[in-house]
Order: sequence, then C-alpha cells, then structure tokens
Amino acid sequence: MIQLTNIDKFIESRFQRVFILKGIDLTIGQGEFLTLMGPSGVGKSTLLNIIGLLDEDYEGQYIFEDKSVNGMKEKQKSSLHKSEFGYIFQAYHLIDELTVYENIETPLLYRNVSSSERKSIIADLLDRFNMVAKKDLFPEQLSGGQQQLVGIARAIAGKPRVLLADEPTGNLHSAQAKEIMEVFKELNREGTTIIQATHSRENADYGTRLIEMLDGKIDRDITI
Amino acid sequence: MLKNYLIIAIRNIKRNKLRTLVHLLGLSLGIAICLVIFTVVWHAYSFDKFHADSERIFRINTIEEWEPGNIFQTSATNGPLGEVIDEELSFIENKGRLYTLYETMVVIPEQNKVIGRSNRVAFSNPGFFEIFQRNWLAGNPQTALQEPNSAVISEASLKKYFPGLEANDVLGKEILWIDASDSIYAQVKGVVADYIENTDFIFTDFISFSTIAKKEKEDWYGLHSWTNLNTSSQLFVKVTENSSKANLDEGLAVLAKKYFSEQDSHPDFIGEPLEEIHFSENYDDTTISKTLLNGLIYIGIIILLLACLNFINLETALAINKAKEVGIRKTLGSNRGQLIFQFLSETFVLVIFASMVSVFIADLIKTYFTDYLPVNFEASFLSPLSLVFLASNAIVLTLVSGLYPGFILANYQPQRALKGELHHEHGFSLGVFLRKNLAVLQFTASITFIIMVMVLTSQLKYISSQPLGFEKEAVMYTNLPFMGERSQRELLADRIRNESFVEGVSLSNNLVSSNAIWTSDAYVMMDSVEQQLNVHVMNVDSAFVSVNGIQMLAGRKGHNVGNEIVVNRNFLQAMGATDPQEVIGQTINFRAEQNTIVGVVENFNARNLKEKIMPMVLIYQPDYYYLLTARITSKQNLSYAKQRLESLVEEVFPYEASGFNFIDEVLKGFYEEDRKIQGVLGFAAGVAILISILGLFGLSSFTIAQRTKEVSIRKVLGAGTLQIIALVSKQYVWLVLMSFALAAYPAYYLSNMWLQEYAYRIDMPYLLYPAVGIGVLVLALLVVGFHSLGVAKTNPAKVLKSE
Repeated sequence: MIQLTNIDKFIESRFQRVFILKGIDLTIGQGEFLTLMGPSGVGKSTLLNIIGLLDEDYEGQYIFEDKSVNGMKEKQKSSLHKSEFGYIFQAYHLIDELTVYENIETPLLYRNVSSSERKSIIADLLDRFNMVAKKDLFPEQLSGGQQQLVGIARAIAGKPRVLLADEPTGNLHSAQAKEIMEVFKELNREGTTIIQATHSRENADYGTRLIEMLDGKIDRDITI
Repeated sequence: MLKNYLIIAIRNIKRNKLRTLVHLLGLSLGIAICLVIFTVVWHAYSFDKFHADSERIFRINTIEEWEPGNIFQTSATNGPLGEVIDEELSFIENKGRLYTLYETMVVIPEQNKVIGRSNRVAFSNPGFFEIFQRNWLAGNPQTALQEPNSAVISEASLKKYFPGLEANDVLGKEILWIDASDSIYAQVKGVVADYIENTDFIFTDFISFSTIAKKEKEDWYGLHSWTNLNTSSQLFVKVTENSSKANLDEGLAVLAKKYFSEQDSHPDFIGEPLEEIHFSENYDDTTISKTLLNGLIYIGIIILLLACLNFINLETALAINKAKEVGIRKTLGSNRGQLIFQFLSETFVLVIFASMVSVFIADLIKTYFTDYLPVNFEASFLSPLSLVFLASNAIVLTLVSGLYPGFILANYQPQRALKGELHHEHGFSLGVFLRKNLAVLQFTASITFIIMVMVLTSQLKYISSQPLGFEKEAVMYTNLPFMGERSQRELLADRIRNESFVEGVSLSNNLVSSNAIWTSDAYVMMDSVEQQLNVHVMNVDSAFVSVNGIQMLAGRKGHNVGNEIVVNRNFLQAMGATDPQEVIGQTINFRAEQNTIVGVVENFNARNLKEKIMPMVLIYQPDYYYLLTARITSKQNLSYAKQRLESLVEEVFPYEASGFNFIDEVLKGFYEEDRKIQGVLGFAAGVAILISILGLFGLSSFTIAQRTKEVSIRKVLGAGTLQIIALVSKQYVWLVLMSFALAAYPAYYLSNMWLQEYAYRIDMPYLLYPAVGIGVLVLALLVVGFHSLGVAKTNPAKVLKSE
C-alpha cells in the first residue's frame, strides 16, 4: 500500500547537511498495525509527516497504491490526503473554540458530507466512545483521555484507510493509554491500517510490526 | 461549512474581548464617518438629476478678463445674447431665459394682503418650462408665459397666497411683485407642481420674460446692452440630440467674435453643464465646492484606512494564536482557499457588527455637525441607499482588511504550526516589517492632522485678535428696502438717533466690513501726469466714520455733499503722498466728475483678512442707501436696544422682517468656511489619533505579552522596573519619531497652502511641530507603559516555572 524508497530529509546549514532521515526504505501493507519506535529526535514524527503528506520537503520515492506521490499535483495530493489519512496527535490538537460535536464534524465538512449523513456518523462515533453526554462540551472541559478519544473519533470520522498517530498516549496516564490502545487494536481489526510513533514498548505490543529507528535510519524491522 | 465558520467567528469575538473592542471601535468609527461623508456627497450630487435629457442642458457662462491675467467666470449673461442665441446657433433646441429677483415684496391687491419678501421670484420665458418640465396643475404650458404681465406660480405659492383655493380657481387672479422701485402687476396664467426631488431651481413665482424685455424697462433691468453683466440674468439652453458641449462652446465663440467685433479683447461665452450648477453658482447660496467634497472624501478614506490598518496589524500579530487551529484544519483536509475564506468570514462578521454600531455613531456625528450639513439635508442612515452603501462597504472592507492576515494564516505549514515554530529564524520578515510600518503610517496621518488643526487654530485666533481699524462692539445694522423712499429712511434714522441709548446712526450702501465690494477707477494727478488707480469705493454718509469708530487722520468728515470724498491712508500711498494734510483739497477725477478730498482716514479692513486693504474712496450717493448702522452706548443692555430698534423699524417699514444684527457676526461669517474646515479637521484628527492609539493599545498588549518570558529572565538577572519599561517602550519611541519625521513635511505643505490664502497671517509656528510630536509620543508611551508596567510587575518565578 505504502512504498517508500530511499527517503532523505535534511536541513541545509552553512557548512553541512544535517540529516534527519537518511535512506529510508519501507513498505507497508494494507491492514498492518505498525509501530515506529526510538528515542526523541530520531525522525519518527518526520517520517509520519512524510507518509501523511504533511511534509513535502524531502528527497526519494513515495508510492501510494501504485501511484507516485512525488509526481502528483497539489490538488491530487490534497484529495488523497483527505480521503486516505486520519491524524492523531500527542497534544490532541482539538479546536478550542469548537465543541466535541463540532470538532468531530469538521473533517466531514471538508469532505462535503451531507448534513444528515454527518449527523449519523457523529452519532455512531459518540455512541462508540461513550461520549454522547459530552457532545456539547468544549475541549478544555474534558480530561486528557477524553480529549484524545475525541481526537480519535475526529480522525476516523472520515473513514480513512490509514491512521497516523504521533505519540497518541504521550500525555496520558497508563490506564487511559491502555484504553486508547484497545481502541486502536479494534480499529485495526476492522481493517484500518495504523502507523503509530511511540516511545512505549507496551504500546508497540498492540501492533503487528515494529520498526526501531536510530539516527534517521531503520535499525530493526520486527514482525510481532 | 459556513455555519461552522460563523460559530468560530462569534466564539472568537466573545472570547477575546480586547481584540473585539479594538476592532469594533476602530471600524465602526471609520465606517460611521464614511457613511456620513457618503450621504453628504451623494446629496450634493443628487441635484437636478431628474430633468429630461439633463445631459443636453447647459447654462451659459461669461468669461471676462478684467485685467491681463485676471480671468473671471460668472453665470451671468447679457440680455442680447439671450435674444439671439437660438437664431444664431442652429443646434439650440430650446432656450430658457431667467431673470432672478432679490427680496421681492409680494402683494395680493385683490385682498389688500401683503405676503412679505421672497427670494423665489424670477422672470422666465416659456422655453424655460420646456427645458425644465413641470407638472401643470392649471393653465396652458405653451401660452401661459407668452404675454407680458402673465405669471405662473407653483403649488407652494398657491397655498401661501390663496389658501383654500384650487389651482383652477386662481387663474386670472392678479398678484403684485415689487422689485425695489419697479412694481409688476401680473395675472396668474398657470399653476405648476413643485419639484419633489433635490433641485437648485427654487423659484416658486415666474413672471413672463416679455414683461421686462421692453424699452421702458431697459434702464432698470439692463437687458439691452452686450456689455452689461448682472448675475440676475441667466440663460439656459438645450442643445439638439447630436450636439455636444464642444459644439456649443464653438458656436458661442463665433457669436462672441461677431458681436464684439470692434473690440480686441472681449468676453467669451461657454456652456456650463447642468450638473455643475450645484458646485458653482446656484440660487440660494447653498453651493458646495467640489474641493471641499473631495477633501471630505479623502478624510473619510484615510480614517477608514487607519481602521483597516489597525485590523490588519492586530490580526497579523494575533495570527500566531490561531496557528494551531490552522495546523489542525490543514491536517483535517482544509486547503488554503478554505482557510482564507474562513478568516474572511470571521472578518465579515466583525465588519457587520461594526456597521451596525456605526449607524448610531453616524447619527451622533450628524447631530454634532448639524451646522455643517446642507440646510435641507435629511439623511437617514437606515435608508435603502445607506444600507446599500454599508453592505458594499462591508464587502470591500472585509477584503481590504481580511485578505492579508488570511494569507499569512493560510500559509502556515501545518507540522510547524502545530509545534509553534512560527518565527522566521533569520532575515527579512514581511509580517514584522509591515506591522511596524502600518503603525508608522497611522501615526503619520494622525500627527499630520493634529499639526494642521493646530496651525489653523492659531491662525483663526490671530485673525480674531487683529485690530481692524474700526470698532466692532455694540454696533448694529439692519437692511432697509433697496431703492426705497429716501425720506422714509431718513425719518427712521432721525427717530433712532433720538433714542437716548444711540450714539450715532449712519445710512450707507455698504457695511464697514463685508463680503461685498465695489471697485472702480480713479484718476489722480501725480507729477502732472494723470494716473489711474484701482480703488475700493464705499458709498456712505458723513456719520459713517464716527459711528464705526474709524480714526480720522486729517481734514474733516464729508458734509453729505455729492462731490466731496474721503480717502484712506493707502490711497495716499498710492498717490505718492506721505503727509495726510497735503492732499486735503486736492481734486481727483472719479466717475467722470471732479471730486475734492476733504478728509483722510486711517486704513481699516473693509474686507476679510484674506485680502489686503485697497486704496479707498468714501463717496456720498444717498439714493442707493439701504443699510442703517447704529452705535449703542456701552452702558446699554444690548438685547433691549435690539428690541427697541426693531420696533422702531417696524413703525416705519411695517412689512419688513429683517431685524437688527451685530457687525461682530458679519465678521465671524467671513471665516465660517475656515471654521468649518477647522471643525472637520479637528474631528478627523481626534478620530485618527483615537484609532491609532487604540491600535497601539491592542498591538502592544499582545507584543508585550509575548515578551513576558524575556522580561522575567531579565528580572531574575537584576533588571529594575524602570529599565524593563524603558526596554519594552524603546521601539515605540522610534515608531513615533519616524511617524513625526514623515508627517512634518505634508503637514507643513498643507497648512502653508491654507495660510497663503490670508493676507494677514501668522508665521508658520514651527515650534508647534515638535510640541505635537512630543504630545503624541507621551500619549503613546502612556498606552505602552500601561502594558509594560503590567509585565514588569509580574512575578518572574511564576512565569519561568510554567515554561
């Protein structure tokens, strides 16, 4: 599904190039639950951003579903981004000015989903995550775990095939983290491809494949 | 989608109160001012737009060159041109002749009823009604004004003169109009409806032109001579469909050449488009100059721009707070266009709120500036026209102020925006550059306005404190009928003189100081050569000098004898004499008569102080006197005196309504226009500085809050409160200094241009400039200091702990 060949990412400074990613070759199949692990600054987030089409400033080949992303026009990329990817952040990144309901609704608005369909999708998601009673609250009125659940609900509202999660449990305590990972596992079982970046070994255990990174390179590729 | 945007917009507006306040106040003030200016300008341009084929209607103007280089254009035309124009020029479809009258007494002889004086009476020919069509309530449009001594009145006059009668009932009734010494009896042959739309054609009574185009009326109306010019005599033409102003002007040039063939320099005629009349000369002195209107438009645009700059400035600065939201939206699939649109919709919501507030502010401005607005100006700021203006203004304003911040926001890269990495690391940043310069621009405009107002104020103050050469306190005057009975005038003067509180009474043809001027040529023997002198002539009686407190230098007052004249000091100078005594008894040739100088008076300002005092000659021609000036003793209660004098006038002239006025007020009237400019500019300056300070308040609150961490670290390292304030305020000092440097020249240029209009003027008050600069600086520092003090006082431990 996703095929990366020889991906380099570097920052040009006056005397030398500082590589963040160097020579990444990675193929990810549909339905995988892949974990990127490694210490801070190793390039996990950067790789996620490249996969999620949020960072275009890199060198190398990226093929998504047999189509080269490198050659795509802005419009195609944007529609690919909209239809295939969902994002989950460590800091949740909900829009503070919108309620839970409206936050989940936002990606659907960008996908031009009709009003009645939106209502049913959001109702299902709220129901699934037991948040029906909280739909009119603002993010600041929720606990971290609840905020992240909203984040997940928002990410999967558009029914993406790939879910990208950058340290999804980094700001949560262990019980909440466990809950979130269970949700991921269930989503994966339903067929969503999940790529997460994490420090935590426990989280990695939920996945099907573990990529350990070191100094911008893939160190080990283990199938669990 | 739009709903989502609007929700966010409204929540943002509610959440960030300071931002909302700054935007709402600034924008609504700007919009309100523009709304008022828009309605004023619209009103000014709305006159006489409704006449059929109005683009083909012209008023003929005369251009004369009095002296080489002194060209003068007037709406007056001589009588003969009106006679021949349609015979000479084939493309004239119709000609409308108009002869306006001033203060005509209207009497209904049948009922022995005196209506009073009116400025709405004119002679006109039938063609006038064909060019300016009316709705006829009675009478035949073609024939009503054919015969001499026929008249057409409007519905307003019908109700006033014959209350209760229908239009058809008054046909054939007789009305008497008394124009000074000419009494005109005419029969009503038609009644027309009044115009409902805005018009400069204010006349309600029309007497057939043929009434005065007669030999025996020649002397009085002066319509027989090609060289006689009188603004009462006006000529309108309507040209045929395929003709233009160029054709008309060409034809008129040929005509002028033909009829003035024997002279080498002669007047020229030119067609003035109908739409220009409201801006040049109209019939009730309500013209408004296009320069003034343009000035107003510029002021409006500048103020609105200032408000926009505020918005752009603050929003670009606040963009960082929104970066996170932008980042999230981008990862959720929003594209740049949608983000810009979202920001624009938020701007639009604010602008709409501001527009609503502006309607109230506009109303306040209107109340405050009532004196400045046209008399018949009744604008509602909720009329469809105003709403259209507000709506289109809102759209333009949204684009002008929202696009740039919107672009800035939409250009954030999502992964960096989410991490808060927004500062450009090095080099040139357009955002910062712009933010600084926009504020500089605002302050430049404010400082320019303030300096101009201060210069204006000092000049007007100077003017009112200048000695004028006569006494203006406790001197009153009244208008008597022009060309009325001389004996009646003198009877009244005697009665007034007998009042114990009256020190002196003078009858004259002009006030001691007024806007009217009569100039003529006098011929003086100098070194045995006859020299021509252009002199200012005043036609006054002998009491004039003492009643007005003018100082005599030599000789005596006149003796109310025809060929005795009194001259002023400048006249001596023009003659080349130094000692006032030596000219006494000399004769000068004036109006083809020999006149003897019997006295010399000190110079006095008989015109406003924009003009120098000319050589002056005081003559005695009592037939034309119509002004009565009285000096009241200083002990007398003036309002009582005024009442008493008015009752005396009423005894002698029972039908005259004009009361007594003070000379003081006439003098003030000279500078009415300038005082209005001062008022408008003062208001503009106030608003400009208010908006700028408001912007600075919002901007500094934000930028200073951003420096909290830096300030805390500095405090930990030992910086004192004062040092911190100095540190934070330093950049604002530069900002104001730069604005001052930029403002100095335009302020100098504009106020100097205005000062040049005055013959008596102050030296440019250069000291005022830095004073204004310092004033604005202090104000800015107060505002900034308010925020920086807050930051300087925060406990560094708290700030640094949370970092």
